[in-house]
Amino acid sequence: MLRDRFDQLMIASLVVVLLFAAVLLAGAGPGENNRAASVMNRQLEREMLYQARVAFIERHYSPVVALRNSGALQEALLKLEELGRTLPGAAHNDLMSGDILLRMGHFDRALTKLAAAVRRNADYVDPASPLSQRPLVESAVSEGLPLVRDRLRSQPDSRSLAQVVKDGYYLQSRLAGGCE
Amino acid sequence: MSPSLYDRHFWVILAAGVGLGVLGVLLAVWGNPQNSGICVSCFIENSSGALGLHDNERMQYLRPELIGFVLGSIFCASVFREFRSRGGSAPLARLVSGVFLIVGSAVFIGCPIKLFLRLTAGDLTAIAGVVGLFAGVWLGLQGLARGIDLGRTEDERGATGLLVPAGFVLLLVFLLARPAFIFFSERGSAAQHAPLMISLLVGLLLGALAQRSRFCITGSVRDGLLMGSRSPLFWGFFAFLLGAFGTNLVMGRFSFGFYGQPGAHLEHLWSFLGMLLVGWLSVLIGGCPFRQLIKAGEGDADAGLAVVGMLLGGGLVQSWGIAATAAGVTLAGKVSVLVGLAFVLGLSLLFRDRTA
Repeated sequence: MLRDRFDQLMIASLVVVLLFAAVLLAGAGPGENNRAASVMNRQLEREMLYQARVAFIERHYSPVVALRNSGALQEALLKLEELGRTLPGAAHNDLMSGDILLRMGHFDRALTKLAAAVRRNADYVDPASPLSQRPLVESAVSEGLPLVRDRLRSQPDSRSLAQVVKDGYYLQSRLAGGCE
Repeated sequence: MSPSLYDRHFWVILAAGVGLGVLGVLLAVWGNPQNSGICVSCFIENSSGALGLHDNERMQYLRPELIGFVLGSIFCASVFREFRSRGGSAPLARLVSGVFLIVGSAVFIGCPIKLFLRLTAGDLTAIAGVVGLFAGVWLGLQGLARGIDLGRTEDERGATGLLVPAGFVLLLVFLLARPAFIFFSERGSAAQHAPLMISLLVGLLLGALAQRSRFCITGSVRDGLLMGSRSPLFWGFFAFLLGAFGTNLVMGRFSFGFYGQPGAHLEHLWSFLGMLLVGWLSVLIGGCPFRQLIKAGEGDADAGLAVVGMLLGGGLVQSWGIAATAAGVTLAGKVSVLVGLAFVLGLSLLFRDRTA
């Protein structure tokens, strides 16, 4: 291979191309590679967007949290309904509803709301997320699911209760982890 | 007649089976998602995301185990002079098969290895998948017996078999150097992983063992159906189940039941069909997703194309909402499995040698 002129030319060119690429990589600063910089920006933007979302949620729902903490649960639910009109379909609305309903002892409705929230945003059961509400979901499942299951045993034809039990199992499965 | 206990290859198969079972559970103990210590399809989805092939922020990580499987295989194949560049057997059909291997696995939530890791952890929802996998392998065998053949694999000039392993060396460089264009999740299941060096070493070890033993799940099921307990792979499979079950028990990871299982759903029909698709395709293309990686490391360019298809599939199942979650199987997932089954049926019609 090394005696053939054409092969020699190819090998020499290969070495030159590889060296050129190595020199480019070694000498390139972060600003010189537009593509890499834009990708880095994308990751940064993604993180900023996430942080902004967390901050927005905290600010937007702070009146509800205040009412909930003061024990005014009914008023907190009304406030949530009002917020739901300006921000329909928000997963956090379901989560907060679930939280308040759980405190009010409405386990079936709490499980349904929490399952809807987690289906839309798995961060609520992710310990690594600032939005994590694992203890809330865990207590809803541990307290609520056995009760609802017992009720279903006494009313086996109830479709709505069967759906709530299914929601409870879904939450249990998400809490158990595994791949998504 | 059972395999001879004096046969060294038999013991290598047993070691591969036990290793896959024990380490498959231990990787989850060390940080991988629950019941997903080893899941080739989940890892492929994570790696596709890391490469930017999908934008699910919770599923992006270059899984070192995958890199280890391929590099362990090429190392072992080279040492024992078994590396051979080969290919040319229906390459595009294999590429598309790779896509559908991931579709079927994503609808079930797991590859055949994870199927049994889930089962040995007490997850009874996996039973539908087990039945599906056995049915798929059986259907594949029926097809092979009736002349379905994707064509002969020929030795190839130009060392094309090195391309996929070289790609995985590049992935290793990306994993270690972490350039800006590779994405790493900070939340979600992709953020859960065992320490990098442990994952890589386990991958290398299992890749080498699997290359020496030819062990794979669907291959074991196939040989078990064909030869029963006379097949060494049958015993390797048994060792895998025993290793995984024992480790799950010892590590307190056994949770028996249908409900509240990690990374599982209750749509049994689709679990069955997803694994049926995987089992059937695996028999036609000569191995499950894990085996495709090992064969790609041995220089099999056809398996390499299946691996490329799997990476594409990993991107598609996330981007198009095909992958199932604990909430259930999406419409896109159900339709994709049916399209996959249509594809296998098409292959069975088009690649059948009717002269025999």
